[in-house]
Order: sequence, then C-alpha cells, then structure tokens
Amino acid sequence: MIRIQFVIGCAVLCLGAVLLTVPVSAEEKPFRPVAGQFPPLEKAHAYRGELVFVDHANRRGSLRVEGSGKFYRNDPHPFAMLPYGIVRYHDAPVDLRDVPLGTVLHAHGFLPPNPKISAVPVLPTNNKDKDAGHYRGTGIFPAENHVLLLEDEPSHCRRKGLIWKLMEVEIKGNEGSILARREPQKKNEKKYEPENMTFDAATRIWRGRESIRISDLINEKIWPANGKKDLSDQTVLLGITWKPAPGDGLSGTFTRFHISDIWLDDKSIEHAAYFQTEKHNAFIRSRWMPGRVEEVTYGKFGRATVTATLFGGMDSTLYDDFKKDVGGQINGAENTLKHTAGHYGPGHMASSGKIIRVKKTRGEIPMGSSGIHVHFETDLVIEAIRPGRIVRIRPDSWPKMQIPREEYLFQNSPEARFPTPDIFPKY
Amino acid sequence: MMRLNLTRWIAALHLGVCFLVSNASAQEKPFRPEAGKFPPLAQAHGFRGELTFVDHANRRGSLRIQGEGNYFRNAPHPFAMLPYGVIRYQGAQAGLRDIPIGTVLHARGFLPPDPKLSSVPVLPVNNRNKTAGYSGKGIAPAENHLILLEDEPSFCQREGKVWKLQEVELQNFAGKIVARREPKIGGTKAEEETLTFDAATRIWRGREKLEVADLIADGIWPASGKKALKDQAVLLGITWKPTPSNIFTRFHISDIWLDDVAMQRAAHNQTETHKAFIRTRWMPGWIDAVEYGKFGTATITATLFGGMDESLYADFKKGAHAQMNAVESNLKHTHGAYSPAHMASKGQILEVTKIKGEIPLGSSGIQIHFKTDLIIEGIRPGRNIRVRPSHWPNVNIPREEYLGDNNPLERFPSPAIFPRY
Repeated sequence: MIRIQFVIGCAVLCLGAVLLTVPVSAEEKPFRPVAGQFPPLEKAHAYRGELVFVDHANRRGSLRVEGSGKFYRNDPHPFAMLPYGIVRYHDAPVDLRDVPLGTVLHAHGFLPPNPKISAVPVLPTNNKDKDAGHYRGTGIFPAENHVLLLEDEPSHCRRKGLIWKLMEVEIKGNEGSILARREPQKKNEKKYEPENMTFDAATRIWRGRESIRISDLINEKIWPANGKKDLSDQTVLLGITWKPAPGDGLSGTFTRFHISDIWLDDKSIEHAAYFQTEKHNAFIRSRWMPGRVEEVTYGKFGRATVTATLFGGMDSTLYDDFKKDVGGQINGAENTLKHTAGHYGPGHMASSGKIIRVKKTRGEIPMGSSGIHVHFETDLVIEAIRPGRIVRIRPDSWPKMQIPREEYLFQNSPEARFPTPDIFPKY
Repeated sequence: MMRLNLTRWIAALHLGVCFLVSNASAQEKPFRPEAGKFPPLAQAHGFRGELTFVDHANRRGSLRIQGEGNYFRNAPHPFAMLPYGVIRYQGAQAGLRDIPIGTVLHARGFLPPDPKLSSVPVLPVNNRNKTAGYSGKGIAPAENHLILLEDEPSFCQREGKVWKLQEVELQNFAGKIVARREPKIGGTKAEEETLTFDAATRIWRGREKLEVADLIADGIWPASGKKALKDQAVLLGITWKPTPSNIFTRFHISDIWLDDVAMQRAAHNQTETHKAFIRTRWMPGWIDAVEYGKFGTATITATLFGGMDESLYADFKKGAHAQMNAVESNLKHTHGAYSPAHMASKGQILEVTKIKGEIPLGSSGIQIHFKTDLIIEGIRPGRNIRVRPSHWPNVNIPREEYLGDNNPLERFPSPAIFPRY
C-alpha cells in the first residue's frame, strides 16, 4: 500500500514537474521557422507599417511600424523577407523593388530562423510588448522581423475578402478627408470601426482603365468642390500611405493614414494587377523560380536526382512551365535568393538536366510553398544543391540571360552571402 | 639690341612658366563646387544609368551607369544629391523616394565639394576615364555629387526633344521598338535606338492607361509582326532589363505617353505630390548673409533653392510670418522630435527680391530677407536652411528626416553602407 502510494506520489510529482517544465521551455524556446518546413501563417506576428527603406538585392528593408503611440516618431524598423516570403502589391506578386517607398504594408513575421546569420538586427523575443518610450508606445519594433507575407492594402483586402466602404467625404481645395470602414464583402452583423484618412490633389482614382483625379470627380459632380457629402457606403479598394498630419508634437493626430489610390471598380484593380503580374512574370523568368531542395539522390560520376519544392505566390502561368521531360537548369542560391554564380549568367555554372516528374501536394498548401515538387535529374550536380538549401530553377523555355551585378555572388565573399545588419542606422 | 632680346627671352620664358604652372594647377585642382556658389551646369559631367538603390532620407543612392561594355556587370555606383540638386520625374519636381527602382535617369554630377564630408565613396578624379574590365569605361565617375537627376520624359521636355517611333515588332504582347530621340521640331536626325517592351509596358492616352493588348484590339498595332510607325512622336519612360542573346546594353520601355494630355496629367500628379512634400518639409535654401542685432535678433538673407513649383515660391511674400530652421547637406532638419518648428527661428519676411539675368540651376533666383528676434545656431552664411511661411501646415516629420542627440554619424552619413563589388 505504502509502495503504491509512493508510486502514485512519484507519478504526481513527475507530472507536476513536466507541467512546470513545459511552460518554462516554451518560454525559453519561442517559435522559429525550421529549415525544410514552411511555418504556419497563424503562428506569425502580424503588424503593419510604412515602407521607408528598401535593399531589394538582399530582400530586406525597413517599415515604420504602427504602434500605440505617435507614428512619426517610430524609427524605421528593419525586416528581411524569408527565402519563401511573399510580397504582393496591387493584388499581384512582386519583388520588393516594385513597392514604392511610403506604401503602408501588412506584414506577417517570425523570429529569425537562425539569429547568427540574420541580415537584420536580432532583438529580444518579447520586443513587441515593450514600450519604446518617447511617446512611441508598444509594438513598433517586433523581434518577428523575418517576414513570410508582405502585402499592400488592396492585396490584403482581396486576400481576406475585405472591402472599404466610404461613408463621407469632406473636401476643400482638392484635398480633405474620407471616413470609411474596412469590412468583409460578405455581410454580417458585426459593426466595424470607421477610420478617418486624408487625401489630396495627388491621390489617383482608377475607374476601369481611366486614371482620374479629385478635380475630375468634382467636375463630374460626383464629389462636391467644398464641404461634406455622404457617400452611402460606396465600396472601393484603397491604396494607403502615410503623411505627417498637422499638430505640434504633443497635440494633433498621432496616426492618420493617407489615401494614395482609390479603385472604384473591379475592372480597375484587375487592370492594375495585370500590369504588376506581367512585370513579375518577366522578372521571375529572367531570375528563375526559387525553391528549396528536399532531397538529393546521388548517382555515379556526379549524377544526381534532386527533389525541390517550388516557392509559392507566383502567377500560375509560371508554374505551368514546369512539365515532365522538359529540360532545365538548377542553380544554388542564398537566403536572399541571390544566385551563387552569375558573372557569365547564372546558366554558366548551374546544373543542367531534365525534369523527370512534377508532383502536386494534395490538401492545404502552406503559405510560402507552391505545393509543387519537381524531380530534376542532372548529370553534374553542383555544390549548394543539398537538402534544405535554396535553389533557383529555370525550364529551358525561359530566356537565358545575364543578371545584374548586385543579384549574384562573386569571389565567395562571406559578406555578400550573409549581409550584415550594419547598413541600418541606429536612431 | 641684345639687352632687348634678353628681355624678350625672359618675358617669353616667364610666360611659358606661367602657362605650365597654370596647366599644372588646373590638373592638380579640378573643378569642385564651392560653398555659397551654384556651380555652372556646363561644368558638370553628364551620364545616365538605372536607379538601383535609394537612401532617400540622406538624399543618396546608386545608379548602374551606362558605359562602353557589358551593362549587367556594372556595379551600382553611389551618388549623393548636392543640397541644391534638382530631381525631376515624369516632367515634375520629385524627391528620390518618388522614383521607382529600375528607372533609367540622366545625371549631371560634380566632384565632391568637400571630400572629407562625402556621404558616398570618394574616387580618383580621373575615374570616369578608367576602363573596368568588360564593363568598359565611364561606369564609375568621381563626379558623384549631383546637381540634376531626371528621368527620360523630364530630360526630353527640358531639352525640347521627343522620341520618334520608327517601327514596332511584336509577338505575344512583347517585342521591340526602333525609335530616335531628337528635337520636337527641326534639328538633325538622331541615331536609331532599339528598345524592348512587354505586356507590363503602360501606355498613356489622355486619361486612359492602356495595355499593349488594347492597342492591338484597337487595330493600332498588329498582334504579331512588324509595323512602320512613321515618326510617331511620343515620350518614353525607360528602365533596364536583362536582355537575352548577348546584347550588352538594351533599354526597356516602361511607359509610353502618346499625347501631351497624358504627359501633363502625369506631371500634375507628381507636382501635387511634391508640393505637399515641400509644404510639410519646408523650402530649402542657403544663407547668403546674417546681420546680427542686439539680444539675439538678426536679419538673414537666404537664397531659396530652385526646381520647385512656382506656387510654392509665390507663398514667400513681403510681410509674411515665417520660420527658419538649420538643416544639413542632406537637407535633414537639425531638430524635429517635437516638429522642426519647435526650435526654429521665428520672424517675418522683410523683403523678397528676384535675381535679374540668368539663374543658375539649383537656385530659384529668389532671395528672402528674414528678421528674427532669436537666431539659432546653424543659421550662418554658407549653411543650408529650410524656411516655412507660417500658413504652411505645422507638422511632425518622420524620425529619419531629422537629427537627434547631435550624433555625428547622422550629420555626416558614412559611405560605409554601400557594398563593394
């Protein structure tokens, strides 16, 4: 009996110790993306901010992140795109270089997968909860600065099935403010908070394939030249930026966003998305499709069969070019997606071969992945094509070109492979 | 007679020595912009290249400069705008932040005015003549301090030029255009240039934004094959993309403005963007003279920098109240945590004078005489300032656009951020 009680006592103690250990180790080991896996979007920390700096060659930049305090005081906060991170602008896939400075973007970020080689400053894991002081409030420099998804306002709305409903415009001299609510396209009972945003004579308005301006809306008697008008929940999509709002630093508006674009109808946003998609398709065809090596089966005399997952977020016409029995090339790339060799074009050093199989994942595909696995056979596998490493792949139908100097590595410089966070100013 | 000859010989020898000395000193002291003077555009070195990097807060960036060789190999070449340097995009005033990466720009640059304070690498003065392997000559000029940076339509409009389209060849909504950039009216025939375009090329007609597919649907361009375009006059936006088939340098058309209305609408939009920007960041200029009074009062003569929209200059009127703040060479305000207005000198514009005759690029030709009852440090002859008529909005500017804690690295940004290739 004593023995049984002792065993039960030990079991309870053990369970208690386990329960105590779990929260401690969970605190000690916060979630980080793991090599070879696409991290779940729901585990990402979400925030939004104004794009203030771009180093597109290294897929990084800075956002002025919206927090609880005065937006203008927030230091630009460095971020790096994960290799499989997706950037969207005007509801289309883009490269960072395509997003104008000043655009307000929605970000979903994680802690650095490997802090030792982070291209942006590594911060304490609880940084998002700290008050930055100097009236800036909390949330302006999250440690989750490795971004899986970065998207502008219309892309965010289209992905989430949201729409802006314009309630009222107040105008004087081609500038003013708009009261609007962002809410689901599908009606529900929930009440959404209205937001007051500014616009001015530089705000672009898109109607079908027309590019019009505030003065055109006034001339057409759609908006008044002066005063207020009820807009009766007119549904639109908005492009959002930020501009300083009047105030003396202590009073005034802390954070008010500015409308850069208004898309009045579906045709106009589809038109914008078309141009951006075509631009990105040409870009990927010249830079090759990025992906990750899952497995390498080595043969004799340098032969190998490489299984790679193509990264997601591209236009479907690009994936369609990866077909069984199509010739192609595969090249090593870094986390920045820079080609490891390119002085004579990436095609010069890449492994040449053939796609022997294309397989599509069934079920839900995680963000970052295309769900497409390519089995590629080469007669000469190059260094860097190893499981977990990043590659770029080109079907032979894509043009063979030279890429610009800052987009490939040369002479194996560690600084080029692992860019340091030193370029980011400390404020 | 002999004495006269000897005198002549001595005079000739002296003159020769003088010539040699002046040549040598000209070689030793190449032209650099001087504080308090706008350098003549004619002395600037002209080049063009693709914008590949922007640090707009410090008014600097990098261009991939067109040289003689393989364009793709040319490393991004750092440049800094002079404080009075003018930027133009789509026929209007712009900030560096307004120009998309990839845009091909025309630049006019000088050697660093003061190499010790240069925010971009200082290079040997003859660097533009050096050959850099397959890249050829001209890709890294030492004249990296710019007085003018403008995109293709701005350049064409300033020079009175247009692109005359000769022929289009296309397939699957992409192809090539052969065109000549030459004076709108008269002038000599220019060299033909072949440029690419694709389905992402934007075509502007009046207030319409068209696709290549729209021109085909309208029967203006063929769906495939060639068509003569008979010198159709347009303006082009130019970028660069890698080109297959070992073509060293071929530029790409990002935009085609088919008519004046389309171009004017683009310029209007950019002008309004820039006007709102300057009203919140204040008009830049420099101090010509300061007359000190008693107990901190002073009368300041300042020249407003050029290249802005006329409506902004029109706001500087005699009798208007205004504020003046010291700024750095990158035009960053020296204070701003509580808005630039918090520490700026307040006062009144006593007089506005306009310079007669030719106004050098960089200057507006407008001088203001401003009286303040409390002059702040930084407002000294030769220094840069920003001025705000009091009816411009009093706003807080973002953190990267003002100095904090008097950090020397913020005042004088180091060129260390630019990668070495």
